[in-house]
Amino acid sequence: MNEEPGLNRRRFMAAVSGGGLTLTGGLIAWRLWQPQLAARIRRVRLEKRLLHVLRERLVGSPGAERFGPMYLKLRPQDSSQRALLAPILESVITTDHEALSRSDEALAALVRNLIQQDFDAGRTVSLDGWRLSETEGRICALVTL
Amino acid sequence: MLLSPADVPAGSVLRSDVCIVGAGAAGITLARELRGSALRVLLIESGGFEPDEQTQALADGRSVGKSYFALRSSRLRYFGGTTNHWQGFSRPLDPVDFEPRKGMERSGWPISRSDLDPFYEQAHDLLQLGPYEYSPQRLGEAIKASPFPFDPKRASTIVIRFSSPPTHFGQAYREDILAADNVQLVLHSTVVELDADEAARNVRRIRAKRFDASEFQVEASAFVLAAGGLENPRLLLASNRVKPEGLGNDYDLVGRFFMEHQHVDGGVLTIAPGRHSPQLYEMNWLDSHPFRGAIALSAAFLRSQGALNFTATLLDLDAAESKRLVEEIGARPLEDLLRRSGQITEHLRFFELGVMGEQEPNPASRVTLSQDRDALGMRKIRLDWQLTDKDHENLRLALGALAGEFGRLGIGRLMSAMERGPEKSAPKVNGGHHHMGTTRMSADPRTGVVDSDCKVHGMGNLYVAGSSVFSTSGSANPTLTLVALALRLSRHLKETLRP
Repeated sequence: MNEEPGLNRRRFMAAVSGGGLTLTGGLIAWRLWQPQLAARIRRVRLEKRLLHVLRERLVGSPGAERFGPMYLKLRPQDSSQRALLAPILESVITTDHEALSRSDEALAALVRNLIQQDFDAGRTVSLDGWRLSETEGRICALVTL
Repeated sequence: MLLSPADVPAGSVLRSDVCIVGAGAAGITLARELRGSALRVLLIESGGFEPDEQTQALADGRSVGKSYFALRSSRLRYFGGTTNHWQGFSRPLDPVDFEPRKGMERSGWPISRSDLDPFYEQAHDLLQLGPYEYSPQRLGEAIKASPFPFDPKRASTIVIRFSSPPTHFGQAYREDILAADNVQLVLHSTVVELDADEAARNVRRIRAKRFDASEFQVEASAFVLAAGGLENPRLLLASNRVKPEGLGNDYDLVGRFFMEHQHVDGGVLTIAPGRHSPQLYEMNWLDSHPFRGAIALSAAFLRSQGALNFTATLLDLDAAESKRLVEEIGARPLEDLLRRSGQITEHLRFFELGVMGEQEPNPASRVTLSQDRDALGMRKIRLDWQLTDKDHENLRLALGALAGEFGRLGIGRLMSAMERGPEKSAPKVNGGHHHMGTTRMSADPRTGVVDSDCKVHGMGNLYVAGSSVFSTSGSANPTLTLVALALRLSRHLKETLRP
């Protein structure tokens, strides 16, 4: 094969520079994606922590056992752990960016805060006549799923 | 002075400047206030100083609308009237009650709360209620308790005062009436007709009957009907000799707009007492005069929502009742939920919520005359008490708003009886023997029977006293307001009548 050396060099340079661009693009994408991944990881961890905190407090609770099924009957679209926890998680993340590093008690306090916000905003449910906050209904349902 | 039957023989004609029909809270207040004036006053009462069955039976009638008390027992026909068995609950109407309210048809009075304020204070004395004080803050300070810190856009604390023991006007003011030189009292005489002139512009005389079939008449410069929210329209409707529709009834309004306060079991409120003490809302005493706070919708809420007025009283439960209720409504699981979620650390207290809701003025809710006649030949009352969807919905709206405030403030949780079990579809609403609105006050004769001076529209000398003139009912027990209105009317009569 008789190839011109200049041409080869150009090809080589083009290949190298193209690869470099790809690599650079990848690096940039990685840089951009990494925080999202980190956020996702934090979110998953926080979700688990919240679930743990709520379950620890409410598993076996006659209150949760009474109101949880009522909530699920009222809002069948929320009958998954993820759906029940999502608004609580959002609120906790929005309220405290460092929530994951907080103690269990601090996380429980954030949930209590959300309960008061629910009442303020009219986000309430009537369960057997009792007017409870949406969050109260959700956490009862969470531990009875 | 008391006129005996011998002083008023059959066929006689008595003459006075002011003739007051009915010696209840309004009538006695008027007569007492006119003591010592230059006006000759005649106060005429259906009963005597003591109750009797025969007279009481004259109050009988038929209720054809919403279930109501037996009319025979809803009023007392003897000297002192229904103050002889009232419970003493007292509170002025709120300023917002007098305002036209967006979203509430026929709301607004032709007078304001400030027009009544001086008379309220005077009425307070007559009802022996102690110092005229209704500020929850000031009363709270006196007993070292605080009102709940409600959002003023939503809820407020009001104060109910109690006449204790309830002032029975017949006992408290009997001597005042009997000793007055210019006041004559005639007992055991029932007014059955107002006799108007041919143009139905003035009442010339009234006709009164006794059980012995004897009759007499009274002529006066002015006549005041003070016979109660059922009997006032009855008399106007029955006086149909000149106009078939009765007196003051050119626009078919007499007897319409019958209003009661909606008494409802509001449910159960749980309170974590360590966080927000309910002390102010329990029975307290100021200089030996009892009072208690109650929870109301705020004026701002009423204005913005076009809502009807509403108060809720926290009623203590005795231990047995509390235990029964707590089991029945699942309050223990709730307490467990609140404790485990860290919202309370103590045991909850439980209160029943006694609700008193305003009824909107409704022309279909009315008093008419039946074809049945009483022992004196007068047509009996036919009461058709009606409530509207708005009346019902307002109770839900109010309980929902209060439940939100209880939760937001961490006071507790509300179990609303109207959102549970059979009450959910049809709340059980009772009245409170509060008969209002049947000769309502309005500046416009097309929307009311009496004007702002309590004078019947289109008539020169006929007035109405009592809760029948209420344009709207608010959510305050009516006695204090009707006495204040009677005091105001007495001033008007003194100023306008020249003997």
